[in-house]
Amino acid sequence: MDPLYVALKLFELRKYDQVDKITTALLERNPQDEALWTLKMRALTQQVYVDEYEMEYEDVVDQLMDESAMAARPRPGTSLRQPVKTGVGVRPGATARPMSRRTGRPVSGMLRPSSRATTANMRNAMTTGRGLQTSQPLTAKIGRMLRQGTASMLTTPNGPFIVLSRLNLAKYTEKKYLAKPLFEYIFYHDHETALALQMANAAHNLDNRDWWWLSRRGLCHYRLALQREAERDMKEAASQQAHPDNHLYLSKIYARIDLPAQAIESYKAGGVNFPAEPAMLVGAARIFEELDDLANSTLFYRDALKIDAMNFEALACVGMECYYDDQPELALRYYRRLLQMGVHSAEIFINVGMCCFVSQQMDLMWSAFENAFLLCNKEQLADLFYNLGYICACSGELQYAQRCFQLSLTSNNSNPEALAGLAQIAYSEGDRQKAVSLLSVSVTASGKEDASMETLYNMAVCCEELGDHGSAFHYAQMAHTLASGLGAVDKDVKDLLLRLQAAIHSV
Amino acid sequence: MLRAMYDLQLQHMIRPGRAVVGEFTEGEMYLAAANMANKVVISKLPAFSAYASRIVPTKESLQILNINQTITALAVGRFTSDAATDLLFIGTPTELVVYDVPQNREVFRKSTTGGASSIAVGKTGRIKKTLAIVGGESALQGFDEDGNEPLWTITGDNVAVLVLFDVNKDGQVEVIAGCDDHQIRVFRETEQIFSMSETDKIVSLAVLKDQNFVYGLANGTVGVYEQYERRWRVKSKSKPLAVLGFDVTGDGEPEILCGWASGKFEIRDRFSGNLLFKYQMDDPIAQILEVDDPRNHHEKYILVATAEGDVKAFAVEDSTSKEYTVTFLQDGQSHDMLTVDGEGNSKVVPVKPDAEDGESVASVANIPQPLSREDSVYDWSTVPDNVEVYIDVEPNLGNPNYFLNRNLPSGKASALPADMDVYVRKDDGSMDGRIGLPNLFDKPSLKFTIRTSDAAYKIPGVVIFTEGVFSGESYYHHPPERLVTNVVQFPVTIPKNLPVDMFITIMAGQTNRKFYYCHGELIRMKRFAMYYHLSTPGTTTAAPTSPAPPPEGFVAFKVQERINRFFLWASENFFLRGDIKASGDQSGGSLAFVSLRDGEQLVIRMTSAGEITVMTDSIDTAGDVVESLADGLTLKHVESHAHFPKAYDGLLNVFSQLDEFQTNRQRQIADIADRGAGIRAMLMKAEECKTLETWPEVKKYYMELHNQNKSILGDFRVQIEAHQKFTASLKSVSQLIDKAARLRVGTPKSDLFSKCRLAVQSRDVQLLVRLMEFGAS
Repeated sequence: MDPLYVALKLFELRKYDQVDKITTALLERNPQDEALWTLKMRALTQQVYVDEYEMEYEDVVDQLMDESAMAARPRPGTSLRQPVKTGVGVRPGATARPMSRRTGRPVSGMLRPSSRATTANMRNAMTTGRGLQTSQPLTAKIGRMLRQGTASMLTTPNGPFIVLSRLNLAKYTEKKYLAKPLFEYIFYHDHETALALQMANAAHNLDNRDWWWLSRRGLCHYRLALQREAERDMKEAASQQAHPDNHLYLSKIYARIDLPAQAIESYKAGGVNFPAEPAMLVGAARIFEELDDLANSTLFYRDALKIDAMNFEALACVGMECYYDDQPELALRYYRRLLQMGVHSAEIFINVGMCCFVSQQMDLMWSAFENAFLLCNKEQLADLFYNLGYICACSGELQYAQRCFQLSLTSNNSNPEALAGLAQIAYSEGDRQKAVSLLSVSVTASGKEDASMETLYNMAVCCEELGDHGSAFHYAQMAHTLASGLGAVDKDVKDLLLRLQAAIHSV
Repeated sequence: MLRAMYDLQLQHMIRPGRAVVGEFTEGEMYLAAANMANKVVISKLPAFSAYASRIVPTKESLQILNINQTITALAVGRFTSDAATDLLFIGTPTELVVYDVPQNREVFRKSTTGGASSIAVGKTGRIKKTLAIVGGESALQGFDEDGNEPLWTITGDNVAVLVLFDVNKDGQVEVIAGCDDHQIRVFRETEQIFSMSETDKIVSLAVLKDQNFVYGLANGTVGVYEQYERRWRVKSKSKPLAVLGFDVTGDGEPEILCGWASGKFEIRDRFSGNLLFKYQMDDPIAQILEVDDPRNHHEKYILVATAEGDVKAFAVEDSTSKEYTVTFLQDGQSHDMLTVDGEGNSKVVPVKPDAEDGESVASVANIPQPLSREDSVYDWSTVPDNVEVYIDVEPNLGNPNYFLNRNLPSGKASALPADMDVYVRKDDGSMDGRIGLPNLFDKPSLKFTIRTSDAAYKIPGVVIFTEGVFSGESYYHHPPERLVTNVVQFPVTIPKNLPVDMFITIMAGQTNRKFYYCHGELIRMKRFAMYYHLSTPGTTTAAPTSPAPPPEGFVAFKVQERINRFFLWASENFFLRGDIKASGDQSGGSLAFVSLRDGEQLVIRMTSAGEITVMTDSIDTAGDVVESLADGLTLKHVESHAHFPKAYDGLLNVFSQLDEFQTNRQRQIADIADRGAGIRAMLMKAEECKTLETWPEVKKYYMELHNQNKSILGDFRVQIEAHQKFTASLKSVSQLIDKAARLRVGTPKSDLFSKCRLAVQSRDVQLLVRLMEFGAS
């Protein structure tokens, strides 16, 4: 058989390694063969290809030094960067969905690359937020896309396949059949964004009616953090060709420059053109979720599920919403669906276990947790033991609970929740001093700014009972600012504050 | 009278003229102001209260918008009347951004032809939709709600300020644009229907009432126009940064509130320009605004914003009182108010209307009249009846080779016939033992000759006051004492082809006297006074008109007029030599001129068939002539053939430059962005090292940062330079289109604009040249 034919077939079968081998061998014989060249480029690109609209380039530097967003202090509910204050979906009481401590927005059912966590200032960003599990220093997060050439070194041990600096870009840009694969190779494989941009510009100047080049130029601009230019390109591309990608990219750009209303609009506009495309609905649902508009978010996730009943993200998010909406049985169904589809992860089993616990199906609960034990890694183990400890504490088994929390600490010795749980048990045993020291460890473990309101309140109460009114007042105040910052008005905290004030004044 | 309501201390500097008031939440008013750091600061205005107070907004209560480009204009408005809140319109040197403040949403963002240095929101002409009208470098654009552009036209220069109102009482709203080339232009949709010539850049405009509007110039002039006629003007040394028409007295007639760069705040009467009130503030006044607050029962009040960010609010109180009193909160840090009248208010004593401010130098009504006599330092007395004062003005070519010498080093050729009379000062060098004076008339100019009929009435000095001719508006000529006679001659150069009014005051009398007689006169200079008429061919002197090559450029068009009217027009607008009526028979005639400014030739020819040809190399002059002809012969529709190869030649060059610039710019943008990412990462690393206290590393990173920063700044400068070049060439293109359009009258003119624009957009130089040469039809 003609080896080129074989290579093409293998390419169709996504056996990119083999395609690479065959084409490399053939190219050694005839380095001028453009068909082979293109095929090899495509194969190498496909190996490292990612969906750009799921990618997030925003790193800690961009968050701190980015002024691309128009409104620096927008009104609450209109921004992805400001903490949510009075969301539409806020429910009172214990069943409210907890806020993520770092970002001040509701926790989500799925871990996503794009979490627009804005830390207040640079010093904060540097001193906190370094998890124990990742010993990676902060600066390693800088400039993900600056790692040039590493990918190519990986795939081709004998040096890079194409030496871009020696390439006559103008010549290849004019060859239309070569230009696009070459661009993708430069963009995805070599991460030479500036060069890719140069090429996209040249190609656009040759033919300004080609939406593909416009949209690619937008991608280059986006990678270079030139969001406004990217917006212009994508808008133009979307008006020339209603391709789903164009709408998705456009929304992504809007979300990046903190215009959530427009991001949702763009998703909706895409939804009109492509009513059967769940990506638009999921995208809009994500934005709603970050805006704390949980009702709308769930609505969109459910719509996405109607189109695509196998969408992990939608399933997980709807399940989570059901759990916090006091419908654990329903949540159980969504998680079971995930399990049916083959997503077997410790987190899912933990969630299933918790749902079972809340819906009083103790028999099923244990088997779920057992499964979680078999699947979990060290970090998940800490969470798992914490949850077990919680269940024990709820069932009055304080001894077991204590052990569980301690086990949790052995896998993650700075798990603030476990520490707080231990403190609670110590308090109930009457050991105030121990409770205070555990709580203060818990507070430092999570970072002072990121400590949960409950921990701070407990700390204040313990301090008060020990007679340390000064510290108590300090912590109560912190708890109060946190509570009011999240829009909640906690009567207990207020009462405590008043009591402490009176006590201090009387001295 | 005005009473202080509150002082809002924004704690942000305000760019002059860039502050607006809008309803950004239903029922609540906000102030939006551009600060020096390219940000828009939005602050809620306090609710009305009975007691004046000083308010400092907290940092959290201010909304800040990052624009990241210089903010050139701000405006508020809504596209539909049923919208609940106002939109904010932000102009930058490249684009217009329409932003919905409460929703944190950009309605649209459009790049404009020449930036957006002024914005007005409203309806104009017969266009049904509300438009955001944007004035930029030589273009006027109107955008509707969806970002479409139903309005586009060319202006001669950058539009600094815009207002919309019906200026000529025709029931349609016109666009009044104050331009940097000293013109106030009036547009009805895309057509320029009138233009008023002023003496400096227009910095502020505001609508008054009944077709009246007030304007302010960069040279310190403030004045009022009623329709196209100027009512009055006053001049001061400072710059009027803000003007507003607002009824302070409650009599239904708006007064003029004027804020100056010197910090002066004035109220003037709109009919006479009399000063009613003034107050000196600590800082330059950046903007004066009218607020219509729904919380205050729609009772209007005003805001005076200083450049330092101090916003003072005043409400009209006791509108029946005719007194011009303004109550102020005391400036400075103290929260006390001056207690002068025992009520807790500090009263500022009003200025008497007749006590004119020292800075104001002239107040001139547009009715021709001699300067007021009381103000003069001289003992005014009219020259006795038996003594006549003659004023003669004639174009004087001086040295006939003045311009030629520059072009032809040989200097042999003369542009003039041999019989030209050349004036040479008799006194030069002929006086014994005295140093000769430089010849005043060597350079071609207009020669003023002023003479009294009696030799005893010698003229020691002449004062000319006129607009737009002399820097500082007036000119004083006085010959050396030894040369004072009853005749005085001096040269004057008028820079533009515009009819100007000159107020001439002549002193007359004995030189050793303490007092002189004075004589004032108004003369109206002809529009083309600066053209020297060469003797027409075909008359007795058969000398050739000029050995110099005739002009290459010409504009030709046809009119339905008799030749007599053409000559009548010529004699009204030019200084003609001899009796041209004799030469102008019905078979046609020709007039040849040479410019006294630069020696450029101008030949106007008319045949018996009514074909007029204007031959000149300057497209500007041709435009002036066509405009004046159309005016003089009341032409409504002129389509012409315009051939100006020299002007068109530059176009090709400009367009190739544009392409080059665009590719360069794209590369530079990417380059800078690429480096910016590196710099940000570096800064982060440096900060981290600082936290870890590894000082050698910190030093290393900061050194590197410094170098990177330097090189990026260098790149940036290159980019800025290129951008300036780019905008300059774009401007030159649109100015050329404007000039070409001036060679047409009526519909051919507006057609040309729209067709030329398409040609520019498609970068079709050939088409553009063809359009400009042969018109749009």
